[in-house]
Amino acid sequence: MRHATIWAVALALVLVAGPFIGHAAIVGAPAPAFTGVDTKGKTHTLAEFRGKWVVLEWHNNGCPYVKKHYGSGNMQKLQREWTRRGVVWLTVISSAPGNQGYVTAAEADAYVAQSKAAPTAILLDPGGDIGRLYEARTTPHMFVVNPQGLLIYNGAIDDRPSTNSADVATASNYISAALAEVMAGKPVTTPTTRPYGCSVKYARLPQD
Amino acid sequence: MALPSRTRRWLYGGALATAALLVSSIAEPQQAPSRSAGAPHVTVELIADRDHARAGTQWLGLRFSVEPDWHIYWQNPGDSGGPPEVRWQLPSRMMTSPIEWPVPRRIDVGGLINYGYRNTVVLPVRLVVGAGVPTSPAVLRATLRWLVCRDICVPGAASIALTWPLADRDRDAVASWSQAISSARARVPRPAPPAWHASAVAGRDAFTLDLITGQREEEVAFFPLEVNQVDDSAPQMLTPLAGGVRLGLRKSAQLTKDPSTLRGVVSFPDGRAFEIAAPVSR
Repeated sequence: MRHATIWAVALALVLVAGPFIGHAAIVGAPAPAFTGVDTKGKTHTLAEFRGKWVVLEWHNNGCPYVKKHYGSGNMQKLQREWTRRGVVWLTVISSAPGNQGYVTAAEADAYVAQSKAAPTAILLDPGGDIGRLYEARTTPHMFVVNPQGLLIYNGAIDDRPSTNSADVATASNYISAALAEVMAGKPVTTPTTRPYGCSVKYARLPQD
Repeated sequence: MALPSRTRRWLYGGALATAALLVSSIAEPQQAPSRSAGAPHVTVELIADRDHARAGTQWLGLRFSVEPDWHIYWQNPGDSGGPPEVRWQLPSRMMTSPIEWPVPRRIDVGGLINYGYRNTVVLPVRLVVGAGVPTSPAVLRATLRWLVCRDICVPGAASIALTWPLADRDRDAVASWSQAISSARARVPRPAPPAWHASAVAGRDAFTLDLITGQREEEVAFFPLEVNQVDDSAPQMLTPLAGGVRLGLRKSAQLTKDPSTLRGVVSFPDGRAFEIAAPVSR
């Protein structure tokens, strides 16, 4: 009788919690393998960057949180600083057509030129496939992958979740901290934080 | 007879300066600072439950009137966004407590979930006034920052102030302000009744939260009070129990170590809302 109860409870727990599968982008685990096309029409996969550090930056040029980091020059500075040290910096745009942040390849390149950004490439993800694979929730939402393909950071760009440019100067930047630590052979002090920003503008599902 | 050009320039300059002075003094007459401010997609207003200060506790309210389809955020905004923030400038011997947050609603933004408010919401703020109420007018100033979103987000800021004692036209409004603040306070979650029991089990990918209320519950929503524990956009799997309800809550992608307690607000369709703290076991 007692065994039956235990099994019933176990079954109930599985049924309730069962539909939930694990997250794909987990710190310490292999980063999800993506395929994406950049603004030059070239296809990229995560595997091609094996042996290098990779930063993924989710982007929407209309979002006030993104404007805070680009308007202040903060994001461009990070991109230049770290690509100079061999890091591959991929800006990913997962806005669906018609939604804020959606841009054509030409518009994305024009934005890079005008804002003096310095990503290695911009991946255009209007279908939201890469975004959903990584469960990118906000712009910006940052991920860092190590040369062995493991995810070592997933979260916010810094510790000041505001739209105020003045906060950039006094914020602790999690990406710089993580990269500096791992490049010096040290463990990452803060491997995950709650990402802050506007919601990623995936295609809206049909309304009931 | 024409004036020398140097004198003419001096006269014109003087006239211009005088005009500027007159215009600026007309544009900034001495008047009470504004109690409300309009901004894109939202109007903010400072209200109070009394028309003059008294020693002890009274209540202020930050009233946000949000354009239809737009929303502002709860203290935990969910997947994205950020809550309104307020900084106060108060007369001496007056002190405010942090905002008390009425129960939010789940707002779907293209598959991601925000916790927040639509239409009109009053955020109550407790004000304590020390002994020796001021006889001269007291100005209470609130400097606000917020994010208002629909499919896009617009940050906003305003500085609004309420002067006690209230001017005649505002004194008539106090009864309705007081009612609005009371209604908002009634929607702030209370601590769970002592007879209730909440506990959670941490599985590999989800928490199973059991809430025993003493009666079968058919519908409840859980709003986490801590970030990085629960996946905000995952549906909450609900199973009524004879004496309460069971919720399956997917773990956050940012969760690295199971917490010892799952704290949150549970909200029922009849308007009951309570804060719970469920110890977590494996």
